[in-house]
Amino acid sequence: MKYVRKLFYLNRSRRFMNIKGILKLVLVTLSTFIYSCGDSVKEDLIPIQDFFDRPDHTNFKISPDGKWVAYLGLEDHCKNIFILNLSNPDSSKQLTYQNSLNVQYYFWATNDSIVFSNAQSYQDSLRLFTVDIHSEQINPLFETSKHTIKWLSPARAFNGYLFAQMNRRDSTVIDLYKIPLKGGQPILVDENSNHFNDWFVSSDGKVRIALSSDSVQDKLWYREDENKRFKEVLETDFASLIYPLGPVKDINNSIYALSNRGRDKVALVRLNLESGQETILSKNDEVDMNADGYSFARQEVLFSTAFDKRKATTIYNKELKNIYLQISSKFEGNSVDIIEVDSSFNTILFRTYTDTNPGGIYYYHKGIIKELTPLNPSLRDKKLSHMEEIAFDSRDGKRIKGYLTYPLKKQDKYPVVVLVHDGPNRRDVWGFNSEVQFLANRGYAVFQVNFRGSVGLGKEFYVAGFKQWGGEIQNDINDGVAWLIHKGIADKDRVAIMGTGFGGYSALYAACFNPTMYKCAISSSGYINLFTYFKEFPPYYNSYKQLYYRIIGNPQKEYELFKAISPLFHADKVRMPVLMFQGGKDRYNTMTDVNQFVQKLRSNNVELTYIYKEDEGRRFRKDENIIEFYQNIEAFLKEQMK
Amino acid sequence: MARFDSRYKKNLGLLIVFLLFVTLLFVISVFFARTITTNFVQTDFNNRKAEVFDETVKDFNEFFQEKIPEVAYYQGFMDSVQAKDFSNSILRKYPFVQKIEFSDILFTNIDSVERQMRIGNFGASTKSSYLYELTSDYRLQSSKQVSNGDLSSNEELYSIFLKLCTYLGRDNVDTSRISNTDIYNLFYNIQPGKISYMNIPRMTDVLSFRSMMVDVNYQKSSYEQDFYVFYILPTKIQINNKYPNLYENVSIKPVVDQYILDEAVFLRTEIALPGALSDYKLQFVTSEGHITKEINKWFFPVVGILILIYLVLLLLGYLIYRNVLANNRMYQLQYDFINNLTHEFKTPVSVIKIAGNNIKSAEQLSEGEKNMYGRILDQEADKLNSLMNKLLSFAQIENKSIKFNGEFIDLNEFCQHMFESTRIKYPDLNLKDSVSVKSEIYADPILLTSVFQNLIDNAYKYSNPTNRFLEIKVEQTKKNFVILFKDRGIGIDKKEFNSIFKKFYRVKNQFNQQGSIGLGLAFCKEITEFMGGEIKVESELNVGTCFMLIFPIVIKKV
Repeated sequence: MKYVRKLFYLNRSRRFMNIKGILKLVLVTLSTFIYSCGDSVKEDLIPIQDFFDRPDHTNFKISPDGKWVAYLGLEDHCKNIFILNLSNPDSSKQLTYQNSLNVQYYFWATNDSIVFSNAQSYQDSLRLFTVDIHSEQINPLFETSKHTIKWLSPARAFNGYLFAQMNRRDSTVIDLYKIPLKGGQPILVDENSNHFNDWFVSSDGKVRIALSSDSVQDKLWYREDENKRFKEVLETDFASLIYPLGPVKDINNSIYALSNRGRDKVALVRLNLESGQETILSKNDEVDMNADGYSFARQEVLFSTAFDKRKATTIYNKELKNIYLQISSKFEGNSVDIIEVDSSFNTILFRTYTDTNPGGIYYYHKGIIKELTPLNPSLRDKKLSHMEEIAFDSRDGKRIKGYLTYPLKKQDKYPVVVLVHDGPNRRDVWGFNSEVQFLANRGYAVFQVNFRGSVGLGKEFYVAGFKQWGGEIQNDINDGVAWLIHKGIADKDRVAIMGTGFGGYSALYAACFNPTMYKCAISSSGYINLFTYFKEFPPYYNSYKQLYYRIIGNPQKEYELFKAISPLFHADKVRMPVLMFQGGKDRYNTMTDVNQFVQKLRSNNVELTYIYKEDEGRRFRKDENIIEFYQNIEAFLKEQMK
Repeated sequence: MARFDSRYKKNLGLLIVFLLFVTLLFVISVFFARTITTNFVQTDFNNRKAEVFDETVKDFNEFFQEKIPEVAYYQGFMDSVQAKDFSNSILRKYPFVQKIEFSDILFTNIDSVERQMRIGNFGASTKSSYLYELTSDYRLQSSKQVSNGDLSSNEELYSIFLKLCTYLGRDNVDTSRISNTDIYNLFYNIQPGKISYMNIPRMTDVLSFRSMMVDVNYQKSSYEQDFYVFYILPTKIQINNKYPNLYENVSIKPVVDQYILDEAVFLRTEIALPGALSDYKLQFVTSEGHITKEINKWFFPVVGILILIYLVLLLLGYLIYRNVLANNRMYQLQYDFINNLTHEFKTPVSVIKIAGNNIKSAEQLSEGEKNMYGRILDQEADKLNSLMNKLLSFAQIENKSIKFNGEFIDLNEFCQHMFESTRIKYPDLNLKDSVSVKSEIYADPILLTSVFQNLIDNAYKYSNPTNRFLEIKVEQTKKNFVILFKDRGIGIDKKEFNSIFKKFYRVKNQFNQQGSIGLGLAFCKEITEFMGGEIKVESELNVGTCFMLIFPIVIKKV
């Protein structure tokens, strides 16, 4: 469950990256226009907006029959659905014509219809529609209502019904429903009796598998048929994961799944639902396997990926492998990530990139490769910095990996920006990273550490980060910096620490407790008070608390620990210059805490730049705010890292 | 001899007026200084109280603005152990906090939980309640409060709960943030002597509270909150009297103070205390003696400065007066000189006039007579000439209008000439000479001749005609030429050593009757120094005088 949430987290954040405003687009086109109108002298400094512009076509999805690619594009300042006919481009068209609400998300329900939502946030009421791609007829799926919905994976129609879990009956209980595609009332399939969090649909449209969780323990349940009772197949401990990917073709009692039961790393396994026996299909000794590559339509695992040194894609299906090799040969030196494959391998969506090239999204259709959208196109012909994998031993001998990106200009010793990732249950991966490239372009070596507690590097490594906020986690980061200094790479007088969320917490913690190591700290909505952070889990999610008691600690029993590691209680110790960003809607910090912290810093005459944006959340999303965010970072680092 | 008194009158009247004026000025300024310092100190007395006030309530403000919000840091996670720690630190740091009451409260919509207060489905109850205070021997004493389930038993909590519910019950609650005024209104309850505070929940919590109150079907949940009542005793506030010189006594007094005893209080002022302290005021009191001390502290230095100015003015007056006196004496001296000079000129002129008349009236001049008159005329004309030369060259030297035509002179040769001419001039002078020099002296030959001539003349003139003796010794030391003129004349009194080189000064004696104007030695000194040398004198009355000329040896540049 925890892992799954993490995975969703990654997905969600990626989706957010894609959902961006209109203003941005105007800004970007305007600025590129100005830029191209300027002189042709190639400047060293690349404008900030070039790093952070977003494509105007997003969310590409192949239709089940592989004939169409749908995407979200801007029309009338709103995101609308467009479909591209791959064999006959002339019949490509716009499907929706909304001019006041964005399409939030959509999916192909069948070969001919798409389901979409135009809710503006997950707090908004539920507004779901179907659109027929031929007649362009739009119908509401069911009447607008005020509850949450989570589609079962895969989101597609089975015999005219869509499966979803909703808290329609009782707002505190999620039940399983099926929703007729032609419209009408959702039909209750199962009342949730076992604290299920997820159900999994089989290829015949029956729901046989469910996952329950009390956040410490996950349980996998199985029933042979919908009229039978769910039986518990297995349960996992708090650090282990079992996540069903989908059924195995022609074998009813087996599924493909990701699992790290009895093993440190997550492997792709075939799980016997009767016995609970696992057969490992694919694993990586260094890192966890990712949850992609399973084709529901074919009921087989086509390929698997893992974020090793770089993202490694292994193709199991021979036919697909040939196509993949064909594609890869066209993009020599680039990584090619498969996004989606249709069941007949006619159409493949993929993304190419390197660490220095943002690349683009392409489709392959019957031997032809075409670009759908470039990513950060203005960076394509620019010289950017390579990202190198590094590894060092922390003080207790743990092997810690990370990435180092040097600026292009060679120097004896580099000013270093330590970019701490959020989470801490996330990780940095090799690939194109706008933020890293921006900092490297401004002359700083960028140091990213996958400190203990980062996910994807094995169970043991993940658990090692429990209750180590400000402890071993911080030590890993500091030891990495010490290692850089010792190696003669970092200029010991010019090291900055920066991050968002947990990264910001780490930066603020360093500002309080590591005054000699860092020159300055940059925090973007960094957690200031862990008591407040803990409060974000509402009381009715009591189960979550159990997990977080393990990850951070128990605020009631271990309040001394909480006090010791919360920057708010140590604001008096801060002496180094601090740059702070805070979104007014960040739920992990209260403004009361932030204001107290800022006031204390100010009254101690700490050099503090504090930027508050009331309508932003933890991460700034509005384009003008993103630009301002990086402008401030640039100016602050320039001043402090002289 | 007529005196021109009209020129240099010592006007005593003017002097006295000046003195009186300055003294009057002094007295007036002292008077003003007194008035101004008195005003200044009294204004200060009224103005500085704000600073004392700030200093005094600093601790309280720190407590109120920094310590109390710290409760919110814990986000309701405080239990009795933490509360005890927290209270302990506050009670010890801030003596004006008399006691602290801590309640661990629960906001809930769960029916099974006993809710002491309840509005809609939203209720609050006290899980536990503790009272912390310091005993007289500074030990923390904590006592668990027994709640009797009665609402009125916890008046403060009830009041905050009501306010919160009123806020939650509003139709349009801003769901993004609570405004600052709302925060103050909702979570603080400030009464004289008491501050109640509930930790400020996160916005999402507030929204949940609202849903709990409004929505019957809302998830059953409960939130822990921490609630504190701080009892404040303003009289325990440490008064920090920054200006003990101004305020003899600063004290915290109840606002209503009926029994004011007006004993020896000269100045009084007060400031009301803020917020929870508002039933007390800060009172500043000072007696007359105390304030006078303070006034004097400012006044005396001012008077000191005034006296100094007064003295400087007097000194200036005296200096001007003295200068006038000196000028007056100088004038007198020059006046005498002109008198003498006229006299000196008159003698040869009248002799010439008599000789001329005699020649004119004589019918026939014998050879003897002709010779006599010729000699007389020649002599007197020489005398006049020499007088005028002396006067002229002296004036030139005084005005620095002579150029120093220095050249290297062989002293042997130069002295030989001098001695020969002296022997011719004064055949009755017993002149002894000795010259032993190797180098040549750098000097103006004309001026040097003049010095020699003067000194030889003096030696001749101030000697008994029976014993006219002069010894001239020219020697060379390592650095200097030393020329000695030693006579056996009448000598000079030691008292007059300083004066003889002054202009127009003449030693009074019988040898000093004619042809002397008191310039000779002054002239010698001027030109000797003009040529870079110096002149010294040694003498004994009735034994002899010795003048010594010292010139530095100048290396001849090739």
